[in-house]
Amino acid sequence: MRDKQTFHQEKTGFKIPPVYFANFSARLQEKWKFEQFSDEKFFSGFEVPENYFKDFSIKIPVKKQTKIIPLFSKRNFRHAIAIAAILAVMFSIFTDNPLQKNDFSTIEPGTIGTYLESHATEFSFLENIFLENRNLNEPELNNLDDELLLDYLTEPTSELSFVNY
Amino acid sequence: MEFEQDLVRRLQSGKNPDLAFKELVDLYKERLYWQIRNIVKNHDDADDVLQNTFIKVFRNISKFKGESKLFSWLYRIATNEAITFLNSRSQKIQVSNEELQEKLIDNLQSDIYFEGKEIQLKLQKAITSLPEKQRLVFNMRYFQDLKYQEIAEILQVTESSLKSNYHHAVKKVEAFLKDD
Repeated sequence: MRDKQTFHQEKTGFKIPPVYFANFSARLQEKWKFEQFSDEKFFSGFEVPENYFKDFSIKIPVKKQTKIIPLFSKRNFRHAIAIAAILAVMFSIFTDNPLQKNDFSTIEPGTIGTYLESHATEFSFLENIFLENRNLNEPELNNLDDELLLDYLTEPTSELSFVNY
Repeated sequence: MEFEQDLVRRLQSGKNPDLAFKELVDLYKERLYWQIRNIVKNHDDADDVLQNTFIKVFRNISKFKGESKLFSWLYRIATNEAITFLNSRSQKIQVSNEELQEKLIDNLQSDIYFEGKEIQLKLQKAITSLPEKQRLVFNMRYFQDLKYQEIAEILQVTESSLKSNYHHAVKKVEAFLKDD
């Protein structure tokens, strides 16, 4: 007589691992023990003082009034403007101006001479200066204060300072 | 029947429960396994569902009133567990029950615990094409040789309704096998 397992396997085509049913009870018992352990609720051992929950209340701390300082007050704004102005001035003073470096010391004297000759008419003011100087007459020169004359000569004139030689 | 009643009494009394549960498992594990396996198709899934079925029985044995046979009560739990398992699976992988049934059959072809005869695979495909109720009735009647009366008690339907369901199922399976 065929056993139940063979009967089902032949009819359905489903097979089962060898000794599956023989081991099933033991595996189930293990799972059952685990499930029972998971179900059990053990006492944690923690206790609370008597009437703790009855008397329980939350004390809400009173908030202190805090002074609000506006980020963009007039006073701060004025300070910021003043600092910015100072920085702008300092920047303009201490920053190297690349144009300043291009003074006449870097130019060959011959080149300047050639340039002046070719633009003689444009620089007639130089001629005027020299002419003006020539027109000083003798009595005027004699009346000049020596100290004033010395100051004049040692003080660099704006017109001549750019002719750097 | 008398043995069943005695077993239930011992299970519910809590005296030497381990021995009583072992007797219960040894008595029904194989029959319940095949009931579940015919529904879920795969051995590992059947094993999971069978274990969960017995765990559920252990938990709820105190609620068993003896209004039906222990045998039918166990079968009902096993069937519900298997169907719930499949429903959860279809929800998890987001497919319909019909699509899941097709997947189960596709998986059978590479299942080491499936004999793989062509006629057996065809039969499984044919059963898959049945509506759920007819599928259940066909599995219980054809593969497990359960009596109509027993099936009626397990599924809690009338015997005449069962016979009609089985008759329709057989016709559909025959037609499927001829056409395929």
